[in-house]
Parts: sequence; structure tokens; C-alpha cells
Amino acid sequence: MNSQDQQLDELRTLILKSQSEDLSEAETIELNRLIHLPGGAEEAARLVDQLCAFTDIGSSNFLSLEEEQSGARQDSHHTPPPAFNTAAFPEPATERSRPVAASRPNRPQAETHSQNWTRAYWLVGLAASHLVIGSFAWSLARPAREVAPIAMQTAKVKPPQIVSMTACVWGHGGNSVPTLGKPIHQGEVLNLVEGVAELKTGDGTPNEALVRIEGPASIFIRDDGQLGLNHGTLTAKSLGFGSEQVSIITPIGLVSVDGQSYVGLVSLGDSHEVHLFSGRAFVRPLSTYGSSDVRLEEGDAVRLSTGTEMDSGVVLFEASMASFASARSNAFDPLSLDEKYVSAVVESSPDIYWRFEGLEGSYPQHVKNEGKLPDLHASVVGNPGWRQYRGNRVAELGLTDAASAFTTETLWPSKPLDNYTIEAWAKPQLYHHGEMICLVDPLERREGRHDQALLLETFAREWFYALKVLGPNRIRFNHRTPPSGVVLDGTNLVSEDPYQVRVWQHVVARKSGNELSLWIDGNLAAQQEDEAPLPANMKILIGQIYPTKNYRPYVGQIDEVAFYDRALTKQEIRKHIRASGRLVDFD
Amino acid sequence: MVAYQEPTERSGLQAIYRQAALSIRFCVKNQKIAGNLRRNRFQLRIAYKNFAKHASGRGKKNSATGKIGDTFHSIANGNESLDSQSPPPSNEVSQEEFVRLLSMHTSKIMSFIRILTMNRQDDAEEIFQLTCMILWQKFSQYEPSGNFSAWASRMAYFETLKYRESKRRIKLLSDEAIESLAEAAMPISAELTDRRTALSECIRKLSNPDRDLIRQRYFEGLSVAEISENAGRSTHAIYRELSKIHGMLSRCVDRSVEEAWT
Repeated sequence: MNSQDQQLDELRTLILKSQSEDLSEAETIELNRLIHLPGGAEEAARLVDQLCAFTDIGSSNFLSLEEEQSGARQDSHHTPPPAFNTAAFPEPATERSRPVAASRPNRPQAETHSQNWTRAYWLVGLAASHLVIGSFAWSLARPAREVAPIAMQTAKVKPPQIVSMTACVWGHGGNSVPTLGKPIHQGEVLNLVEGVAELKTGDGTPNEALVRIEGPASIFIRDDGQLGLNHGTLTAKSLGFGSEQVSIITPIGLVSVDGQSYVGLVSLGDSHEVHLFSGRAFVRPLSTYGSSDVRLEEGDAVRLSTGTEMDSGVVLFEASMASFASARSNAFDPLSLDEKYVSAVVESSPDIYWRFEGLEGSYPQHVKNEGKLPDLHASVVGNPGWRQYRGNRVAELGLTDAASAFTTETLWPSKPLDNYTIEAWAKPQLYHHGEMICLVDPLERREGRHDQALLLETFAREWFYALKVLGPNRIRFNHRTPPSGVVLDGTNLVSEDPYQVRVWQHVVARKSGNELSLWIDGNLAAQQEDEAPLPANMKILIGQIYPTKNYRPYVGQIDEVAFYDRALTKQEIRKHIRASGRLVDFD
Repeated sequence: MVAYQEPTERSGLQAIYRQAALSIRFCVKNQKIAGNLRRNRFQLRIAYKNFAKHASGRGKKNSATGKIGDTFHSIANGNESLDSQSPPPSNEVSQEEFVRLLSMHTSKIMSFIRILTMNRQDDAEEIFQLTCMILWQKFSQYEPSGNFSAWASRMAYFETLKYRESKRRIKLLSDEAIESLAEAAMPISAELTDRRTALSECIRKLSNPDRDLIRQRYFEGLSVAEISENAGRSTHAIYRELSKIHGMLSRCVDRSVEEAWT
């Protein structure tokens, strides 16, 4: 340990000591001296931030939840059918979590100045960060959970189970990471950051329903085994028969659904919508909305909002599946391309043109390059899927936990490019952060990581601080010279509008001299200046960001990927789209 | 067994959040305690009381604070004295915007204050409430295109200094040390969510003995003296051991935040 490390160690020790006991005068002077050393204040701030995180856990209410649940379980036989009550909302994980001995009554006074930490300021923000630490508390406190009276769970309530997951990324705010087929018990909160998860609730009972949650979303399990929606999007199909068999508690009130009905809920910010696709449903708003019950018939939708004065209140409109990605089949919107399209692309003389019509060669098999350069075939990584449309096959990626991607053994381009174009058809299956196409430095940095020279990706409602500025659910084109692994390096172009899920979109990333541009369906979606050329000798990847790591997978279909060593003109781009036969409005 | 709580005391994130936002908007607008709360009564009552108390009681005297480093000054927009009183914006749009911004950045501001108070939450809470009042009073001077959390943190920094002055008790850190700490705390509080995520991951990477020590200290609530007694080691050795683990966690969190996302 060098001298500076020793001093930082001493600084941390003094801060830790100050949390439990009074420092001597000499120690106080030393603490102040150490903070002024290079890196001292940063080290102190980092440490105190950690201590704050631990305090949040320590002040939370962990065991009490378990015991409350037990009590609730004991009483559940006598509980009437679920009338709406805001009490049914669970508190955030950290607020109701308590580590094993956080309730020790005999902690020294000096130690407890970091308790009683549930005051007014929580009300304003209740940051997700505090939820995050809850999962950590849960993992550390697991032994205590395991000895808690789980056996008192009533057998009368059928707990929900996850029956399928597509590209699910679970957030840390929830109590546990759900697994397929494992029951999810009452009180548990599931925070789905990305992907689509399908749950079966009330299996074999009149309340049986199939619920699809679309990330980002947060739900919780009620004591009757039915669901509550904290925020986000879900669809629910009630499979039983009879009136108001399935109910979902939402931030606006109770939504009750008849048997054999199909409903979609969206709860984002101050706006909450209920769409009824089939059957019958009732919305019983909280009294704060000042509205009586709303009865929805097939095709109806209702929006309740508390936003500005102008748009607050209750608005009825026509139900639409457009807001619900999971309501559409993967086969929705076929991409049928014929020789006319292929000819149009080949006429533009691409270096690389992968049609994804099938695999050739021996292991590893590859997609043949139909561009002008020899080799540069797309080698299979993992196990990509395929979907056949009329006369056209496309690659379907990211639908399983295993890798499903393509890469090149030969590097591209052979020299730095001031002008280039990358063109593809893409149909993202859901809103997520996934790598459609990227160019990476073949040199491994460490642990399978590589620097990137170009990223063309679908973007989600990003939870990482530095990327939030880019906007949610957009197509992102990042030109990064020199290649780098730093998040906001290079020039970022983000489509003006969100991309569509389960709909084909024609995507072009182009550099023409100093001008970078992103084109969606033949229309300019973003433009920036960057004079740096695309570096030579990069490895191409389709479907993930690192060659050997299944990281940031693209989930959806992709087809007709072409790389050009020149900038296509707007006319050429549009000519390709016209040749596809698809109806696209050009600006 | 912990006593069963009344249902009205328990509520969800959305409900609390929405109600709090509405409540503060109400407070800002009317500068008085609102009644008839249907949910979260207890906590919201505290929020109302504190907000109303400070709204009516503040605004006359805010003594000048010590010198502030240029770096920290330049973080936020505007450089007017905090002593100057300007009337709160009166139109509804400003109120809405203020509530929106405050709601959005509360966790960062709070995190910043907690670092400055060295994790003394009673102090942090007081300072946060004072800061909220100042933010509202100064909101007309806030440049809409500016960085709200940086602006608010700057205000919080001044409020921290004033609060320390008013308490007249022995100060652990000098004003100069607080100033350095404030500069260092800004980027950390700005990345609060990411750092919490990274911390939970980093703890999982600790060796079993290290994780066990963290568990005893922060999850089982054992004092350092208790831990040292159980382990048959000196308290100083336990502090050094904790210091080493916290150092590793800090480096791991920094690395994760920097590298996990590319």
C-alpha cells in the first residue's frame, strides 16, 4: 500500500469511527487534513454515500413485512372479496424491508442517529435508487427470510407463476428475481426493466388470467393472488367465466374484468389508461378523481390523468392495441421482399449484403455475403432463429437466453472511411436496449470487452444516468472514432421519434463527409457533424455488443443488412424502400 | 411480532409520489397546511407542517455564508446572493414546473445533503426542508435550461453552512472541508441510482469474510465494539478492516458505473 492509499485508508477509518463515536480533537484535525489531500474529498464522499445506502437498508422495515404477511395470511380466510383500498399498494421494497436485527432495541445511542429515517423528504421523490438497494438487503437477509413463518401461507390462494419471459431484465427494486414456474408469493414486487414477462394468475380457479407485463413496469402480488400495477404496461386475458372475476389494483383505482375478457392497462407518470379489447370491464377510480365508476364495453378505453389542469380528469376514447407490444404476434407485419428489392440494393454496389435467406458452409455456418467483396460472410454466433415470410426469410434474434448473433472473421472496412452507409430492415419485438449492428475493435480490452467504433441500436427507457439524456425508445446511431468503450464518447444521433415495436422499419446510418445522418423509413431522423472517419479493420456484429459475450442482445427480427463504402443518396435510400413494395410516406 | 399497521399508513410508490406531488403543489400555492388527506396521512401531515412552517417563518434573514470555491460556484447557473429575497413565482405554470423538477431531483438533492452532513439524517432532513423553501423562493431566478439538481445542490450547500452556523455545536468538518466535500459530492449524487445498483453488485463480489463483516455491521446492527468482542480483535482492527472493504467497494462502484455501460 503506498502512502496515498494509507492516508485514504486512515481517512475512511476516521469517518467510520465518527459514525459511531465522537472523535478526539486530534482525530478531528487529522480528518480535516486528510480530506484536503488529493482525492481525499472524493474518497470521503464515496464512503459517506455508501454509508447512506447502508443506513437506508438499516432503517427499512424488512422483518415486519414478513410478519405482517403472516398475519394477513392467517386472516385471509375471512377476507371479503377485494374491495379497492389504497392500502393494497405495497410500500417500496426498502421502506418495508428490515434486516435481521435492525429492530434491536438495545443499540447504543450513538449508533442510532442513523435511524428513524422515514420523514417528509421521502414523500417527494422516493428514488428508484433506494428501491435498488432493497434487493441487496433481501439477499443479505435471506437466512432470516428462510426461517420466517413461510409455512403459514394459506393454500387457498393460488400464487401466480411466470410462464414465459422474453428478454427480461429484472430491476433491483423488487424482492427477488423471478424464475419460470416458481410461485410468486403475496407482497412480492416485480420490477421489470425491459422485456415481456407472461404470468398465469389464479391457475385452475375462476380468477384465472394470463397477464403480460411489458418492461419497464412494476407489479405486486396481492394477498388474494391477484395483481397490482405500480406503473408500466400490461395486458390481461381473463380465462374464467362470470362477472368481475379478475381485478387489478392500479394507481387510479380498481379495474375489474369479466371472465373471457381482454384488457390492457398503461400507467405512466400522471396518465393512466384502460383499454378493453373484448368482454366487459369496470374502472372504479379513487375518490380523488371525483369520478363515479366507469363501465367499459368492448372497444372502449378510458384515460384518467392528474397532470396539468388542462388534461386532467376522465376521458373516454377508442381502445387501441398500438400501446401494447405484447398484444401483437411476432408474425405481425410480414416483410415480403422479392428480386426487385435485391436488384435495387445490388445496383447500389454494397461491400457487404446479407440477406439471411439461410446458412451455408460447415461449422461455424454463415450467411453468404452477396455484396461485392469476397468473403465477409456473417458467421453464426450461438443459435439464431428464423422466420419465413412469403418469399423472404429473416433472422429472429434474442428470443432465448442463449446467444443469437452474427459476426465476421474478416474485418471491414479495409481503410478509414469518410463516407459510408449501413442499411437494414429491423423489427424490434419490444422496447429494449439492444445492439442491432455494431463495429468493434477486434482487440479484446479485457474480460471479453471490446471498444466500439459504431453502434446502431434500439434504445429503451434508459436507467443509466449518462444515457437518459438520449431519450427513451429511440433508434441510436453512435459514430465513435477512435473506438472506445466509454458510454457517451463519439457522436450520438437519436431518432426524433420512438421506434415502433413489431413493425418493420428501414434503418440507415450514413456518413457523408462531415455529416452523420440517421434515416428511418427514408426520412431523416437525426443529423450531426463529425469529421472523423470510420476506423478501418473493425469486426462487424449483428445482435450483440461483444463478439463472445451475450451482452445487450437485440430482440427482434432483422433482414437485408448492407454495408457500403460510400454515402447513399437520399434518392437511393428511397429507391430501395420503394423496391420493397412497402407503403411508406416520405417527408 | 411487529404490530399490524393500519392500512392507511401503508401505500405504494405511485400513490405516495402522486399524493406528495399534489400536496407540495398545494402547499406552494397556498402556503398553509392542507387538510383532508385520504392517503399517507401521517407522513403527509409532517410534510405539510414542515413546509408550511418554513414557508411562513423564513425569508427575513439569511446571513452570508463563507467563501465558496470557484469550481463549485460554476457548477450551477446564476451567482446572485442567497440573501436577496424575491417573491415566489405566482403563476400556475411555475408551480407545476417547480413541483415537477423538485420531484424529479429530490433523491439527488437529498443524497448530496446527506453526504455533506456525513450521514446525519436529522440534520439532513432539516437542511432539505430549508433548501426546499429557498428553492421555491429563488425559483424565479432559475434558468429553465439550466441543471436543476446542480442549482438546487448549490442552494443546499449554502443552507448546510447556515444550518451548521445556527447549531453552534462542535463541527466535525471545517467549512473548507465541507466545500471540498460538496464539490466531490455533486457527481456522486448525480449518479445515485447507478451507484446504488453498482453497490449491490459489488457487495456480491466480496469475499465471504468481508461480506460477513458488512452484514454484521450494517444488517445485523452490531456495533464495532460488539463485532470486535465476538471476533476477539481490537476495535481499531475492525475499523481498519471495514475501511479496507469500503475502499474496495468504492473502487468497484466507480469502475462499474464507468465501465458497465458503453
